[in-house]
Amino acid sequence: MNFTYTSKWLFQKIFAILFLIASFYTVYSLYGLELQNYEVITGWFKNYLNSFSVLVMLSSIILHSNIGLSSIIDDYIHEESLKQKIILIKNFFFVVLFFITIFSLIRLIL
Amino acid sequence: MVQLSLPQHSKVSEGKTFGKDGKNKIVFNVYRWNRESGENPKIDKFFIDKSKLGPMVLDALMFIKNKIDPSLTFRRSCREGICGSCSMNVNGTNTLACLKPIVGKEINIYPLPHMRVLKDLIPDMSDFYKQYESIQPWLKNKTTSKKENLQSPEDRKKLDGLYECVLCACCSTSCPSYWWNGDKFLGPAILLQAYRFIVDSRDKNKKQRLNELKDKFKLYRCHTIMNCTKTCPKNLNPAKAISEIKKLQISS
Repeated sequence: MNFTYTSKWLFQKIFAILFLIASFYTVYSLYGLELQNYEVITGWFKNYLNSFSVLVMLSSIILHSNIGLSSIIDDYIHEESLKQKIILIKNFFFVVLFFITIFSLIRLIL
Repeated sequence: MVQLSLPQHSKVSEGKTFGKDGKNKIVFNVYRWNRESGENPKIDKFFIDKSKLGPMVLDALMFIKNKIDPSLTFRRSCREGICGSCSMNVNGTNTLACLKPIVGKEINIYPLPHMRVLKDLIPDMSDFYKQYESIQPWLKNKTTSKKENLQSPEDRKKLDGLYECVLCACCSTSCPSYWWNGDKFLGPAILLQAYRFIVDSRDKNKKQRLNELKDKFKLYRCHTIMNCTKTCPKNLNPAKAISEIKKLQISS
């Protein structure tokens, strides 16, 4: 399989499945915890499996949305130069979002 | 950007009224446009006694053309759902007028949506046919044998639900992706036909056909909206054919 739009399409589906699995695990493991208690939540994040599931959940939704949004832009924006600008802004937004996710998780774990 | 409102010259206004309302009367609201008049499109109203009509919408259109207004223009041929000529939008759904029964007191008839209209209910199908030509809809086989090109019953069965397509374009013109990107996206009808040749055991060009479709516009504008399957007057499933092509793309 060459890296073509087929791969993007496939990855979008894979990220969606990863997101669903990670979300179910996250909700399940949070069930029964005292969610208003800050110490309990930070304690939950210190478990590597929990923080890894949140990392998978957030990164998969970011990557899934990135491909999905590119597709929407391709659908509705027909002017090539405008399309390129919007895709650039979108990619920048998602890179920033991804780094914020990683940074926040590291802060919570350490 | 996508244009969300109709251009000024495409705005539809009220047209002529033929006949009067009454008991057993059905009103047919029919889209009319003649480029030579230079006027905007209009909706003409035809009040017709139900007892004078045959069972299908096409019967009503032929009645209007023969008895009321000979200038009404539409395509028709076989009047039994085989030729695909009389595709139009009836009560908000793309269908074949010859297969659509007259039900209710009011019937709205428009040409297929998002196609250039030539006159009244006749859309310009030239781009659609060009797209059909682009998938090379014929068997490609290097063998020059003069014997029959045989096919097993199992292989023949794979073509069921595909070969019945009459290329009426009801599915393609009901697809929002085709509305926005009709120049680049092949649309459900053409992709169904592409799949028909991909799975045909007598065709030896499967890989090249799949490569031709490996394009983010030709194939991947399909977002599984399923309007195509819902509207198909022949009860075919173009959405399934498209998803099968996508699966084959992954394995190829």
